[in-house]
Amino acid sequence: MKVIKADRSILPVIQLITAAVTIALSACAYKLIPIRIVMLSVCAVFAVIGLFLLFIYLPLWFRRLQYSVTNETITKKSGVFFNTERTLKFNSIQFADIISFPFSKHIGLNFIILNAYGGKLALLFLKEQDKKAILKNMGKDYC
Amino acid sequence: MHHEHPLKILKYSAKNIWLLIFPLIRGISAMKLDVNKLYVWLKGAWFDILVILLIIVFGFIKWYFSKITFTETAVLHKKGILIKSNKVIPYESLASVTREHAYYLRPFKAVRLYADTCAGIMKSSDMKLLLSYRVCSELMNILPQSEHESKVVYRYKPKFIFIFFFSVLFSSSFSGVIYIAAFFFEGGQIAQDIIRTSLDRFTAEASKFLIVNIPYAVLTVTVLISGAWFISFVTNMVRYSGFFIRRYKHVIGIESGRITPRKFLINQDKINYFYLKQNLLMKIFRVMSVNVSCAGYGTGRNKNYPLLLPIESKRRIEEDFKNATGIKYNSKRQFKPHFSGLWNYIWLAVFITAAIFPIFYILPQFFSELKEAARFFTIMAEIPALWYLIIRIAALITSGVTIDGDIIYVRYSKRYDLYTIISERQKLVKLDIKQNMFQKYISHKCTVKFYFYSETTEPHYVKGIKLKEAKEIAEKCLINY
Repeated sequence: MKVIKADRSILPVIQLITAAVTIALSACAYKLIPIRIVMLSVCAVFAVIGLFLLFIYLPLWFRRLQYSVTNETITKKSGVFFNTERTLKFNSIQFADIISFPFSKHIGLNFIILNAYGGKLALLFLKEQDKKAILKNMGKDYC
Repeated sequence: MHHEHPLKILKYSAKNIWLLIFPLIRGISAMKLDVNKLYVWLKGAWFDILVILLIIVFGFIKWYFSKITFTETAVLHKKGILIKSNKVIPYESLASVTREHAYYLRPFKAVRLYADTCAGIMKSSDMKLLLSYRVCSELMNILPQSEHESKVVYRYKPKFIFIFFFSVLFSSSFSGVIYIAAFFFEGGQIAQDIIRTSLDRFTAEASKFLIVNIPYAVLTVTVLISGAWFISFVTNMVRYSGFFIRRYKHVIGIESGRITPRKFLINQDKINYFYLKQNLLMKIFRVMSVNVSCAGYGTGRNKNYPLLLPIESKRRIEEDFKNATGIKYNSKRQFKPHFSGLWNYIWLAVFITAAIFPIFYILPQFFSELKEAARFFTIMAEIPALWYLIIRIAALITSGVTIDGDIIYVRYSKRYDLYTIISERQKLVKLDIKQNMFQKYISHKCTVKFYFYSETTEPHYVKGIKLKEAKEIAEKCLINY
């Protein structure tokens, strides 16, 4: 059994985007809300949520995200406060979507969406070599 | 490696291109043939023209980066410029493949191809492509589902009269009203004026010939409903003319439609179940339609009914069903509800029928001018309510479950129709036995719900079965699984 962890090299970029969005929302609140106490409260809420996501939730989520691959199955473990473990048999996969962003060979922006009977399983933030290993296990149709 | 048909460039171009095209055409048509006037116009409209050109160029780039590859075992569709998506569907996963030759695409030798598996988004095709005839033929030659004509084991082309009766029975005013509403909203003010004027004129003319003094509103509603039904009827006649099925060793091929021919290839192993559908009239005349539940057939945009045999008589159903599906049709009911379960079937219909009457008495108490309208609406509402009551009584007489080897037959009623589900035991996913308090302690009956492989979680249920028999059904269905 091979254990694959999510590629954390993209984490700083996501944190940067989160910080930018938090600042933008706070700036909008500052500009648009006329009542000072309400504006300060809203900005404080955005700041708390932003800091929570930046320093607690996102790092923990990336650390917990992992995939266990055998010859027959793939298991995804994820979740920060509520842990979820989903197992999918390779032989129940009907088709797959393989999505790559620019520079995906260097940063973990490879995604595989597996469509099977009754649902789908999204494999997120995979390194290039991990993506190829999983596709090889799925069958030669996907390589 | 292939590209989609070049017509797809128009689709990939932004939807907003149409906002700019019409002012452009209007500007061109208002222009007289004069070089000076052309120059003046270009000086004002150059930016709009540039935007349109950029939109088309962007559509071309998206089309260029959309590539289709057929390997020996799978079809791959790569698309995307910066964010690249590669969809891989192995041929063995395909449940159905549909080719649609729309009349407006035929001059350009283009065909729409829909490929569906048993996974993916419900009611939506897993792969939608616009292909040239050449590329589509190449794919059909590679597909294992595309079997040779020499392997046909059964051919069936229903007579025109069957298609006619099918269209009569399955056309609905509701679908006709949808068409009119779509025309109303899409066509804008002009369409609204046309429809309104035509309706007023027709209703006014019709009222001159009627001996009975029917209220104008009633006549208008009648004309609207009849017109809507007629539109639905004509649409069904066009859609199902030329209906033809071929059963191969592993695949069922279905063709229908003359103006927009559609060809379906259905993998027999991926069929969830077959079902016979009848309304009360069909039950009285002993005819039924045979349909297929399979991903990609009868779902999605093309809105075809999932037909296998449009109209079959009771006399011929055994032979034709066996030839079309390879499954022997068993008409016996092995487990059936008892007559003492009548109230379980009819309580809702009785309640609805009774609840309508007070309208006739209460409404005029408050609005005396509505007395005639109250009578009219009471009669109009009671007709479908009584019809529903009759169907529920028919359901009690015809419902049941049969297990014949590996095949399960479930006969039940839903809304205004009577169904017979025919499926393999291995396609049964879940079986529920439900009892309310009264059934548990007094009548010892239950409702048995069957869940088969399907795109939606849809139960097929038989009410009023004795608990002992329900447990026997469960044992027979699920043993060894």
